[in-house]
This record gives sequence, structure tokens and C-alpha cells, in this order.
Amino acid sequence: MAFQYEILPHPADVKLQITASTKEELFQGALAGMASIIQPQMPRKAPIAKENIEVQSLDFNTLLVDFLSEVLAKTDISHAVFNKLKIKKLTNNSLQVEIEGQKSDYFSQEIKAVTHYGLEIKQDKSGNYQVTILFDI
Amino acid sequence: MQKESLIKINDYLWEIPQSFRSDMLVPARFFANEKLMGDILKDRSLEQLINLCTLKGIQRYGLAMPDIHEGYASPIGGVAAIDIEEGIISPGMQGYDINCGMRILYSEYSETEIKDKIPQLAEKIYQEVPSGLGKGRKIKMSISDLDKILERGAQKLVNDGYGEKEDLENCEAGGFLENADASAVSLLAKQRGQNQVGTLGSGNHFLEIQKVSEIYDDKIAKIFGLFQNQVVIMIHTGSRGLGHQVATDYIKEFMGLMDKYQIKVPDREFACVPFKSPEGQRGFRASQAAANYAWANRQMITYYVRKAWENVLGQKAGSLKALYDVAHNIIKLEKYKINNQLIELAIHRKGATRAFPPHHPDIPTKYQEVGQPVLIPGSMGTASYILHGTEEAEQSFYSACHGAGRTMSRHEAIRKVQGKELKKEMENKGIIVKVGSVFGLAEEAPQAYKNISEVVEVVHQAGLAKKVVQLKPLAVIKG
Repeated sequence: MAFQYEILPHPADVKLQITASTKEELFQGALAGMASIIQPQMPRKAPIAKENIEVQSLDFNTLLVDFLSEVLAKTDISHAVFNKLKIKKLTNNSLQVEIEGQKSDYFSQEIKAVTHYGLEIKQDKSGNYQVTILFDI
Repeated sequence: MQKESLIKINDYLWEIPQSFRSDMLVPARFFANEKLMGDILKDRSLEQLINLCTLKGIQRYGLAMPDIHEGYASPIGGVAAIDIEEGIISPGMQGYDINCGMRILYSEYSETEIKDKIPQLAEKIYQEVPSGLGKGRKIKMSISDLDKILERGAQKLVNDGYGEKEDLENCEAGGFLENADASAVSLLAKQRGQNQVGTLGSGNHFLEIQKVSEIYDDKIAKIFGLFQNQVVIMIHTGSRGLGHQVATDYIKEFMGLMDKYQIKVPDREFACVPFKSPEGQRGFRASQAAANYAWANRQMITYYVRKAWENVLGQKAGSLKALYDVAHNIIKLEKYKINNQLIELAIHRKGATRAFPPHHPDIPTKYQEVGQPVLIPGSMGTASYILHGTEEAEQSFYSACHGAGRTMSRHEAIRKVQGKELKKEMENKGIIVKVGSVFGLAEEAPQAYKNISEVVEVVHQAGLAKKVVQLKPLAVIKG
């Protein structure tokens, strides 16, 4: 999948910038980026964890935040880091998805929340999507 | 923001006039000296403070403490006092870590008396209190037991034998807020909280064994039960995943109700509804429940710390008494005189410590003459402070700073500071370090923070609280 993510400096929290060629890849990139904050090195051998998530939101911007917030809750409850997804349905305000990751007893970074702060998904002239997400840690 | 736009009220207080931006409902005020001003002007914290001044129902001033730094919605260190009849409730104005706060336990011993036991104590506490994300307790609490914690906080645990009656007396709000309602908390939030009562978490949360390194006010130190070189335990944590989920749930819900209530905010993270609306009331009750969970969390940690203490010191152990427990991320109902009328306000504190004065009805009898203990942690490996509340702090709705305040991103700290070297440096100073991740250690390096002594000096000079003692770490335990 064609996506890129980069962690940007912030005085107190963590900013993640994602660029992707499609909306689906934007979600994949955001998930992979968040996983890289929680656990920079995924364990080599660990049981697989899978979860299904359905989200309804106000708009496309909040859909991304709400999706990642749901993943964060699943991370906490199932002690797993999720970094892959299979999208079953994606509209501008709803998402049905299966997420996959690995069980882990210890995470490197606790993310308290995915914030809406200054979040705006933009599309450039060549059609690529870009967004910057601020995580409260 | 340019310094020229600020009005200097005195050496420690600055104002941004209401005329600075057309949507401000009150002026903004923040506490700082010239030295701290440099850091404050570097980031977006004052812009965020101005945003705070647009919240409907805000009274007098939008306020920020001297540890102010950039966050989201409100800056960290922000205080908004909102009229509950006309104003709003905003979960983003208290932050995601509901009732993140401090507790201090004090021992009967000086450092010299138990110095040889400190390494063992640090190890035992590290074993007893899980730290770091993913590290929950092995036992999952039932949802019905969790509901009792949400409604009765630390009191429920003390009733179950996990503490002393005095722990509740020496805790803000007696360890629980009565307006809490477990049914306002989502199942997802409860599931996150089932195995996290008694866990520290990672990030800037920590537990330290400290000693009283300097006494500024002998009389009040004595009333607080403190003496030179005394060993104390400082606990810094909050409501963990449960609180994060409660805030996430209500920010999402309130965001969808803004049109209905015709409310506009300059940053979506301020999502809010009228305080007295049905949704606002439910959100408030959920927030109070999450606050109760945090008090229960610090109570359970207290239980495990005492267990470790007794295990290591045996018959010599003596008691570990609760000095005080105070929140620094919270929405609380408090009464203030506005236009000569005593009215109830929803005080939103995000990274600000409540600091009630002498004779306030909501503080323990033994602190009535001197005001509540105000617990201010420093950055890791540096000093922490205990202050006492003053009448002068009415100007800040009885609020003081909550720590040093960051100046360097975590990312930059990891890049600039080697965790292993920092650990060595601290050990060379005689500080024992028990840490889950050396990355976590580097992130919290003292270089990443303002100088705590400078910040506390501003609090002291501005009269928000007065210094009683300084504490220095003997052992740091964190995720």
C-alpha cells in the first residue's frame, strides 16, 4: 500500500503526519503510524490478535480520529498492537474494518488519546491525502 | 504572540486584554516571571489560552499557571471557571487523563535510619505496582465492583480494607465525588478499567521515594507531619484507560451536539454543551465517576506501597501516613463570589492543582489553620515541592501549577538524551532508577522541562501557594 508517515516535533505530545494515495491507505497509514508510536519494534513471535470495528462519525475528519480511538481502546483491552487492516466498507462518515496485530505484554509508549486538534484531511493537486494527528501521551 | 501585546500587571502576572481578539469573553491572565516568559512565547500556549477565553459562561479571566505549555484545546496549566447556569461543560478543558493527580505518604523515618533498605524498597515497589501501558493487574475486576468504585472512589477501597479512614480525610473531596454516576460511563471505558486499579501507567507518571531536603516554613511543616531528611513517597498517576475513554466518548458526543446548542469554539477539542443540559449533566456525572476511579487507583497503589514497605522493613516499618491527595486535571463544582454573590462554578483545571486556603470548609480539620498541602512534582531526578494554600489564590480560583512544564518535545528529548546515560547520571547522584523503558526515561529527562524551582518560585511570589518544604528523590520508579 502506498502510504508514508512521519513523527513531527511537539512540545508535550506526539504529532503524526500521514500521506497516502487513497482514503483506504490513509487509514492504513494512520494505523501503522500509531502502532509505531506504541511499539516501535513489533515482537517477532507473538500470538495474532484480530478485532472488528464499526464506526459512525460526523464527517471524514472525525471518522479517522474515532477509528483510531476505537483501536486504542482495543489495544488497552486486548493487550495487542494493531498495525494492519482490511476495510470492508468506507464512506465519508462510516467505517467497517477488521484490524490485525500482535499480542504484547509491554508497550513502549502509552497513548492517552487521539485528539481532533487542528486535524484536517487535505488532498493535494496530484490527489494524495495528507493529515497530521496529535496524540495525547 | 508578541510580548508587546501583553500587559504587565506585576512582576509575576501578565494580561492579554479582551480587546486582543473579538471572540474573547474575558481577558486572559497568566503567571510568569521574565525568565519563564521566553519559553511561554516560543510555543502556541498563549494562543490556546486566548481560545479558552471564548468558552461560554467563563468568569473573570481565562487563567494559566506558570508551568503553562502547549497542549490541545486549553494549554496545559489552564483554568476556566464557568458559570453553571449560563455556561458550558467541556471535557477537553480538563484533558483526557481525568483526575491525574498527586498523593504523598510520609514515613516516621529519616533517610539515614533506613538508607540501606531504600534499594530493596524501590525493587519491591516496582514489583508490586505495575507500570507501563499493557501492564495491568492480573485480576480483572467485575463490572459491578467497578461500578462501586466509579461511584464511591477511594472510599469503596478503604471500606474493603485497602486503606485507613485517615487516607480519605487527607484526600481532596474525601476520595470521591458524590455526583458520580456509573451508568453514565460506557461499557468500553469500564472494560479498559477492569484491570487497571492499582497501576501507574507510563509517560510522565511515576512513583518516587523522596526525602525532605529543605524546610522553608518550620511551623507548617510540623503541622503537615514533615521533618528534615524524612522519607516520603510521592505517587503521580490518574484514571488510566477508563478516564481516557470517558473523555474520548464525551468529546465525540458533544462535538455532534454543538449545532443543536448553537455553540461555536475555536478548536474542536473544546467540544462542549450547556452545563445544565441533559447531555452536559450526564457528561459531568461520567467525569466525576472517572475522577473517583483515579482516587481509587492512587488508593490501591498506596495499599501496595504499604505492603512493600512492611515487607522490606518488617517490624520496623511503622506507618506510612497520607499527607494529602490532590487532582490537577478535573472539573469540580466550587463556590466563588462573583459580583458580590456567592455562586457555584464549574472549575475546569487542566494541569493546575487545587490550592484551597486556610479555613476553607472543604479541607481537613488539621489543615484548617494553614491551608491545604499543595503537591507539586518536579521533573524526574530533580526537586519536588510541598506548598500550602493561601487566601491570595482566590485570584486564580484557588489554583496553582501542577509541575515544571515541558519545553522540549519527547521526540527531541529521545534524540538528545541517551536513556542509559541519564540512568547512570542519576545513579551517580545516588538516585535508584527502576524503569520499564530507557526510552521512557529519556523522554522525561530534566532537560526537557522548565526549572521546577523557577516555576514554584513564581507560584510562591504570586501568592498562589507558599513553599513549605522541598523534596529530593532517592528512588524513581516508572513505566
